[in-house]
Amino acid sequence: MNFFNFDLKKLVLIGIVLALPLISINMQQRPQESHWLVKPFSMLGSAVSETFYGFSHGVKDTTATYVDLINIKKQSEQIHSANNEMQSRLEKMNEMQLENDRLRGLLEFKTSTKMKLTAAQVIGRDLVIDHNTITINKGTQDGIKSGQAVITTGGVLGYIFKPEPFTAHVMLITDRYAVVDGIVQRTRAHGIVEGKSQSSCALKYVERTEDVKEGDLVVTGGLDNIFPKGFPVAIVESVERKTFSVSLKVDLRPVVDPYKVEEVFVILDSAKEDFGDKYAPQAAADAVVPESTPGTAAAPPTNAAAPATTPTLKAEKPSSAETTAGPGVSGAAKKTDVKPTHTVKPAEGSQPGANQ
Amino acid sequence: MKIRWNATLNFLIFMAVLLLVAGFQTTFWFQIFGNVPAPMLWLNLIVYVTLYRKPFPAIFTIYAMGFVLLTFTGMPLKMMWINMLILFTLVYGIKSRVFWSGSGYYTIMCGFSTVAYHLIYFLTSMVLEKNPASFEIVDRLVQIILTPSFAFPMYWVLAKIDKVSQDELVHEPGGLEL
Repeated sequence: MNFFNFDLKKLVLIGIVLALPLISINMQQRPQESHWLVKPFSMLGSAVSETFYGFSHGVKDTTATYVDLINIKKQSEQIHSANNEMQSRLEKMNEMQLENDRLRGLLEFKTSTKMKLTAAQVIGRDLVIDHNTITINKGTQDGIKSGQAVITTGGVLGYIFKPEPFTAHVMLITDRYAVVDGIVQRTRAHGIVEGKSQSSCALKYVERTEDVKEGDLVVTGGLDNIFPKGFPVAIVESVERKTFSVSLKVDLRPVVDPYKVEEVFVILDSAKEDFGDKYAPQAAADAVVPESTPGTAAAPPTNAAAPATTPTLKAEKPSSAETTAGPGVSGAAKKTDVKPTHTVKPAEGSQPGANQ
Repeated sequence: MKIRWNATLNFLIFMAVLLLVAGFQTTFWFQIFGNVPAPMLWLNLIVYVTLYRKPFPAIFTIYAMGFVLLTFTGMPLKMMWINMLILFTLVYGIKSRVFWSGSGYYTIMCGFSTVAYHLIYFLTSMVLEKNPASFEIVDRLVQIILTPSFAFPMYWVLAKIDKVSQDELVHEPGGLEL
């Protein structure tokens, strides 16, 4: 074998094999920089890694979304059930709030009046639709007697007509058998309020010459000794002057919707309470002159149409004087004093005109 | 005089049922459905008595029922009894001509009686009362629909009571045998 006779290919290969570690040693000396030789591989590797990372991320996201969906469904069910519970609580709270307001109104009314009252709840209504009566949960055991007035804070409801030991039947003012002494507050025109149908009544025996208009408030007259004087009964809905009749045909709408009332007051003793100064028509309140002094002594009554105990106008504008005073009211009567007035408030749970 | 214990017991049970249905109608229905007119369950009971009793006991029972019903209404006794008597005459008149046993007939008669009752009341009110009843057509229609729909379950209950407490049910008209 000739020593110098060697295979060049083998030699190059050996050279490469030996050179590569040497090159790698050189590469190790500067690890921060990628060598040109490694760059293509590292780029390829990173691309593959990136791809796999993206893929795995996608898989993870999809899996997480699915798992999340399950969790979301569970959470949604929980939230839904909680929401339902909250909703029902809210409704209950709203109902309690309304009840609270109603009861507070009743309490305020009870404390602000000198009448002896007892509160009762409505528990039933009449057996037949032709009669308008309700049943309350107080009876003779609670001091209820036949003929006692039943009111709400908004107005007259009826009167006790059949007291039992634990319950009592109230004849509503809308019943055909019910009669209440009433007067038109604005003109003091006297009449009898009679029931007519489930949501209306009529003011009867009002003289033809009396001034009664649509929208007038009819209040209790106090002659029947059942109701306190001046308490709202109904609002005039229509007035008809028949040619051959001595009295007016006046249709009324009760201020209290009897079938929307839940709590009522039975007046055990009216103590001669007069609500004349508490419920005044809006028209009268608007027409009050600014210099009118509340609480000053009323002028003496000049005639029956304008008694001194009732709120009247101190001085009216000339244009409104004719409309606010009845035909029999003299000028002196129109110029009596005015006490502070409140407008008529609708009853608890009832709105005038909201009947049925 | 021999006391008919079965008939007496039956009468008392029917009075108790009348009180129950009247209470249901005036209080329970009012508390649940508010101002929706209640079905006249008491009328169904009157119709049952008219159809399945002999005339004399039926009239006696109906008068007693009318008296009991006064505790649930503002209606005067004269109106109650006159209306019931006219209704009894009408229903009995039909029964003596057309009659078949079963709840179907009873339901039909309840429907007829409801319509008849409203008409009778309206007319008698016009004649006898100073301030006659208003027509209230919607409420009356609702009652005319509701009342017969409660007839079937009522028939089932009342027939059961009769079966338990009476010797036999009257299933044939039998004319005017007082």
